[in-house]
Amino acid sequence: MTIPYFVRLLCLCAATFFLVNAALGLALHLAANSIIRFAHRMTPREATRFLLLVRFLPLVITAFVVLGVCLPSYLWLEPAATNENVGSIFVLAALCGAFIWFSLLLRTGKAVVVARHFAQECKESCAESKLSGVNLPVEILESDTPVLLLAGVFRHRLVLSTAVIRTLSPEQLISVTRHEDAHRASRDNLKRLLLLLSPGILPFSRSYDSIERAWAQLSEWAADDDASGNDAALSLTLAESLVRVARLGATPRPSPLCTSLIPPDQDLSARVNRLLLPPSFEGKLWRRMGAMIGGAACVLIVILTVLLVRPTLLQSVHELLERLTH
Amino acid sequence: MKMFQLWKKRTTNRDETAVFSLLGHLEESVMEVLWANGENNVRAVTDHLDRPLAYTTVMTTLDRLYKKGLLNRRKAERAFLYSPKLSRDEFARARATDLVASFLSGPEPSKELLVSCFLDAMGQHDDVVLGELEKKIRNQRRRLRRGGQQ
Repeated sequence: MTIPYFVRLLCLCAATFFLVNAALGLALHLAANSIIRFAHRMTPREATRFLLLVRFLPLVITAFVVLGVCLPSYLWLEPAATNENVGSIFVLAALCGAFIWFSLLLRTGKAVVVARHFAQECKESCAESKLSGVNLPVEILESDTPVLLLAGVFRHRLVLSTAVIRTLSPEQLISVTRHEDAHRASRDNLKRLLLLLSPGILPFSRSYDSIERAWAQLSEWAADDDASGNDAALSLTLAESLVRVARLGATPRPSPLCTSLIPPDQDLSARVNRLLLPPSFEGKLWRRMGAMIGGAACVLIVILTVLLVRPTLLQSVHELLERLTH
Repeated sequence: MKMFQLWKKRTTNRDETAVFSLLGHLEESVMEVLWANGENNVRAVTDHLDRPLAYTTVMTTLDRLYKKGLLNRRKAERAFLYSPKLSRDEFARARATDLVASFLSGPEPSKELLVSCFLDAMGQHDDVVLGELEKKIRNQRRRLRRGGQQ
């Protein structure tokens, strides 16, 4: 198959993206359990940062390889305005790369549409209100379903059902709103959106499901810790509120870009138990990790600089890419 | 003839899987002894059982379990040594799978019945778990109050 210069460039970027992302993704997939175990040794807030960083690492490195190595080597060393024959494996890899981005955009678009639809529904059926001690806009839904969630990626609002308001005492209501406020402060809904936009190993696959589930669980724990502020009485009130809301039935999460008080796929017992008996954590673990990741980033920058300064290295990369193309 | 063989194969497979959900009380006890103690002869199994039973009764039960394909058997000196083919977890999983499969292969109402029973059981389980959590919270609150008073 003969492909013109710029189309070949696009295909090369897509194919390199697919191959590098697949290799890194596979490594991450295999190491996922150890990574999650390691994250549980940190405080929940640190662990969420660490898991998010690990989750985005394949994407960051792949972007670095495509934009920092593959693109310059092609633009500098490939003779312009030439048509070249390309191999079928190269075309297949490029198609897979393109499909990954297509699936991501589709998934994210669907989530955004569902979130907007939910926001519209809330506007029509909820009464706007204000709760004392709560800085967020509150929308109250007349329903017996236990709804308590933080909606919105940039403009957050708290959606509460009358069933929850009736069930919880004022102190308990404050404790759960503090929990949701902690989610708002840490921008968890935006992180959910970024997770949706972050590619898996193959198109339409959720390759890092275990890491994302661990992140979701730890983000709930982190919000619990922020809401209770290491105060035993506040922790107890929050634990009591969680059980009371759970007694009302399953709490819905109408959109993937919402944060629900009790996510349906998480272990409530573990959450309540750790509120009653908070665990202790190793100190300085996150700092050590931060130093390691910072070091790795420095190494990457040095490699990029060397590649740009010494064109002979780019020549080798170009030859490698030529092999991939043909 | 081919149809008959196929039907026979199917019914045989069904019988094999049905074994998991159709164990008698004594058979279950014998399996428990073997899971807890590993490979044993008839005498040792008889000694490990909770209630006193005749040697021949245990021997017949072990032989029946072996024929059902749940035990391995090898001869050592002049006695047979029996060991379970599946671990306790594998057996429990196979039994659950067998139970669900037998319901799902039945007519529509039995499928609905299974789902309804499953949801009921989940609801009861949730109730128990939430009850335990509430008890823990009450205890913790009492402890906190006591701590505050001191």
